[in-house]
Amino acid sequence: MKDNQAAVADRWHTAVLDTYPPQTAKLWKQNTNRFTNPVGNSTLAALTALVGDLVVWDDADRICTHLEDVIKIRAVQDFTPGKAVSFVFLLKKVIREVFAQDISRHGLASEVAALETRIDNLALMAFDIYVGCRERIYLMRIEEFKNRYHMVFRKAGITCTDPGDILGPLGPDGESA
Amino acid sequence: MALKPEELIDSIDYHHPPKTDWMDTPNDFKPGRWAYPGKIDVIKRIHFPNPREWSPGDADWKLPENWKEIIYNGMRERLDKYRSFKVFMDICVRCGACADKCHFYIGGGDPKNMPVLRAELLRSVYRNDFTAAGKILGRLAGARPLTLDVIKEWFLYFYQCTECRRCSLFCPYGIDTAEVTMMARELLHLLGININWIMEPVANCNRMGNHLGIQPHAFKDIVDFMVDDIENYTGVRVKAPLNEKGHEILFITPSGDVFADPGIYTFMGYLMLFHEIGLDYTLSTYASEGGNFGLFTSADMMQKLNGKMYHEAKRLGAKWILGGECGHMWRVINQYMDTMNGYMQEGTNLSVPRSPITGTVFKNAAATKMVHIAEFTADLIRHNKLKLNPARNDHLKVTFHDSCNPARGMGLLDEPRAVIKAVCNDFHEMPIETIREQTFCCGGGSGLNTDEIMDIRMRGGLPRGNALKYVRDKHGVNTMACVCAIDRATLIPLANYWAPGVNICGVHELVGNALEMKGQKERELNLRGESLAELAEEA
Ligand code: SF4
Ligand code: SF4
Repeated sequence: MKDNQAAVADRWHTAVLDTYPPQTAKLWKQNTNRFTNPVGNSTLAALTALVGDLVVWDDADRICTHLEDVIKIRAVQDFTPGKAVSFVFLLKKVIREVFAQDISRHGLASEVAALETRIDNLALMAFDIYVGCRERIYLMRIEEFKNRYHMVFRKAGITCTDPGDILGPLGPDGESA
Repeated sequence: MALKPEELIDSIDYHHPPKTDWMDTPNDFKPGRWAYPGKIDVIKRIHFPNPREWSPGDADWKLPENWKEIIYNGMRERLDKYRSFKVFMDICVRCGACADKCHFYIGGGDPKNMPVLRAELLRSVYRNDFTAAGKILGRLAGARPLTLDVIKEWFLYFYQCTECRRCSLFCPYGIDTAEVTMMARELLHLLGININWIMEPVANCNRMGNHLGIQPHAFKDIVDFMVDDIENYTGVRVKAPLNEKGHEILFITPSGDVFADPGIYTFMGYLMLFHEIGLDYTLSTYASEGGNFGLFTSADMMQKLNGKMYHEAKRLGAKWILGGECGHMWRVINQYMDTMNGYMQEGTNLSVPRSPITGTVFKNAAATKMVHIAEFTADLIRHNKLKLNPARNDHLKVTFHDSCNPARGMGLLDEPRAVIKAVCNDFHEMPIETIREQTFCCGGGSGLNTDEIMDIRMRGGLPRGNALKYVRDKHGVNTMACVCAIDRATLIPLANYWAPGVNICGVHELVGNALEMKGQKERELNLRGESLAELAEEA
């Protein structure tokens, strides 16, 4: 695995791009400019990093950052929640593809199982991140509404700068007591 | 027989995208994929066709019985009236140069958001019914009959085009898909297919003069709040003349600058600037909206809403009009105003604008008599007429977002940059593929800045957000300035999602903060009421 990271990442990237319509998958694979093809290139960068993370498996925060780079994009695209995070599972397929011969020849079933457990962990993290992205979208919608009518609310005397006014005293962790 | 490992793996299929031709791919009408339709009373108020209760999520859109005839006649009328429309329908060679240039496609990947396919949604019907080849060859010539599903598809995809014109920059024939979108939306309006986010501001503007429908007395109170705030922060009480006759200049800005956070800080910047240079001007509560959502409905409505600018200039006796930081307002002024309403200048005092401070004559504005404030201020700065202290913005690392309309619609590229660089010490451009003429849209232009389609907006805003994140990570950029009121609203969630930690502001907010005013007190707070000392410490 350590020696084949680039190959794994490349295949994984292809598999993830294949979750998009075929013309799009092709264009996003071809264009290597990170500014005119942000999805293709951010996805490749993040997946490459994640393959490395999977081998080292030492820093959950870093892994989350890389996961978020992909999930953030898929969370606002036309995917169901399941499809948005399904890209993590595609890695299982890719690993079995790339190492098919080695696995059957050297009887690496338990190594594969260990790796797949890590991938299952990735999927759980991905789910949390996905929900976080959706929550952020809803908060943004509320904030936008408040911003838009800022002065109208002020004129009507219904602005509230201190959430304590509505929620009551705040507990130590910022939760409403 | 058992499968070999490779074969077994091949049979695993987590996901398979539809492989149908674009004409046959079914459309999904779940909530979030469309903006809410116009409310019945709003549509009645502006006398648009077919007011009714309906929802794009319903199977029955309650269209008039003769909807097909209405569309055919509407298309014929527009093909005759607008030569460009006919040309755009005829000359596309499907070279694909525009295919991956649209922010909605770049961010979302839906092929129907490729500009070429977007236009093809309309063109296929045009071919079928208005060309000989289409009539004979049908599908072979890329033609398809007009059905209700086609109409519904138009609604989905022509409301996923922000009319930003980025695609036209790359088309060897100069085909402007934005204009195709305008035509398609006009046709949809004939059937009563519209979105409330556009129709309500139009109705409010039509009756009350601004998008929110705020009445003159409330408008005045709100402006007074800002005058008070400026006094609190600077110690200087500025004037904000409203509806006063006999001033040299009428100032018109989008109402977002008056009502919305953070537009108000830009508005405070204007007031301070005008006070400091002693500008002889007035605001108007009638022309209290620079924006013109009529542009997103029909040529007639755009013309009507635009007319109040000259009307008010005449009533108040102004010699020229200064316009605030806005995007589509300037598209209307620069591209259509003179043709539509130029005749209204008759009997007014309007003449070619000349800066009373520097003497510069704005010959570029000779036709419309309207000057963009970025040009006006850049000219003041070039002539050294302002005392500025950019150090007050030293906690900011600033980049500039070219709004589609001022950039591609009127070529206003260097003036805002000149102003920013004079009032900020730390400026960084985003990558060249994403600025100036090639700028990426905020994802919310052309009346798509409503929150129920936030996902679509985030997809469309992805290329801009990606470039912003790049300069945030590379240079520590924490502020993105812009000269558009819609941007000041839409870029906030965009930055929040794609490049958290970057704030949005107008260019004249930066000017206001840097401006040294005669008689000012020690400036401890910025226009947002934040402590400058604390901000400097945090930076
Ligand atoms: S005008 Fe802008 S939004 Fe519309 S198709 Fe062209 S690039 Fe896309
Ligand atoms: S670039 Fe112009 S000619 Fe080529 S496909 Fe696009 S619209 Fe058609």
